[in-house]
Amino acid sequence: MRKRKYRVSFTFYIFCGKIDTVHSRYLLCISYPERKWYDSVTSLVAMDPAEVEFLAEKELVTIVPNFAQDKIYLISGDVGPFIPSIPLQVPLWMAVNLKQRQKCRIVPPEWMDVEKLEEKKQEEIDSKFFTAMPSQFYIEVTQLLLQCATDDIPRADEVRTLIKDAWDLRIAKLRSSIDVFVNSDATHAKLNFLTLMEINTGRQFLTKALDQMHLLRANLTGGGVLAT
Amino acid sequence: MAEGNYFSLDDILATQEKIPCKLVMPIYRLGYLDPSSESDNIPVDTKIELPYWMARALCSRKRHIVSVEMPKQYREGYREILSADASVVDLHKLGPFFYSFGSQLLNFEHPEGTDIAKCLLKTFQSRFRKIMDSSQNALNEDNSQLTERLDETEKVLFCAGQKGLNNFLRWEKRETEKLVMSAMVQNHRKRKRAIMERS
Repeated sequence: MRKRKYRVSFTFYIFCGKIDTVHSRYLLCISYPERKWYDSVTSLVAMDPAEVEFLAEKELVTIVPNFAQDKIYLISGDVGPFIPSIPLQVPLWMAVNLKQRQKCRIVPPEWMDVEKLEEKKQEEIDSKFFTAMPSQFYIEVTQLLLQCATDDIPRADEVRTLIKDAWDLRIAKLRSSIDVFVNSDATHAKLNFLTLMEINTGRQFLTKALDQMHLLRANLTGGGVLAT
Repeated sequence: MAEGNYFSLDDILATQEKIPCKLVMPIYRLGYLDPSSESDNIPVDTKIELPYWMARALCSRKRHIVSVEMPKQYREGYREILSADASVVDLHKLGPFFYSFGSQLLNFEHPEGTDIAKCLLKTFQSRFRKIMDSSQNALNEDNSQLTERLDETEKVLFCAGQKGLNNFLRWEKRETEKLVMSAMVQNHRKRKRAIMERS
């Protein structure tokens, strides 16, 4: 068994007054284990998008602070020091909070660029399979950054449209591949390059359907599988 | 073979479905099981409809009191319809628990068992795409048209699909982070006001 670290950066949430509905849930449950994202895919029964976003908020982004502050020693790692107009990397949740309090400017991630996204979209259209997305949490990061830091992102509207297009393309692709999967009597599938949010949206449906198929198939082979 | 889940309400409902049976032995003093007969006993070769749970107890390798026929929706004629195009069939009408009841029927070791099992799987596979597409698209619309032809298992599936999509859209519109009053509290207040106004 792998030793589990516990996520306790909640102290900072209290420290900076960021207690909203999503996070307060985790504040109350101190022992929420910090797992790798794929671990949480398999172990949690139903995860809602807000929880996926919670995981995404650990992604590092670059900010340019406009205040001075020594290093902060968070339980999950050190952040800082903050020196005015010197860029540094902080977790997304901290960046959003600092931005909301107008204490920094957010540098958009390298991939959040209209040309690059257009290329990506074309690649997605041309490919039969899923292509690697620039970030594991592309939709969450875009959503959060476009909400609080629209002024820092050049051509924000176009970025939003492109990301949404990529999402729609991938979901449609996911659906047709699920259909092929179900009708081909296959029992396993390789899902590389799918992001957590995409998996999470279709998970309940797909796993339920596969359970049902498993039962019906067990009827055929006479394998003693209990119907539940 | 698939045995049901003892405490599952759906399973209890599914096993209530009637099966046409033919008596192999006479049954004494249980004449009321057959509403059309007046006598106390039921003679051999009488055809009666028994619920699945009773037929299961009366027809097994150990005890053979009745012989079981397959209900008509699992017979060859219907199987052919299902194999032609399952997506247009009203499974809710053929028995709201089409799949689970069908799976349980296989316990009788009927000669057509394998065909029925194959048919159940094929039916599910060919209806899958339609359920998936409609559950992922039709939002904020009246779904009753779509769902009324679905079997109970498929309905659960449909709801799961809708929930996934719904949750995502709510997140996208940033509705998940708003605190809202619970429906229960809201209704309670309304009720209270109605009482106040009446008195």
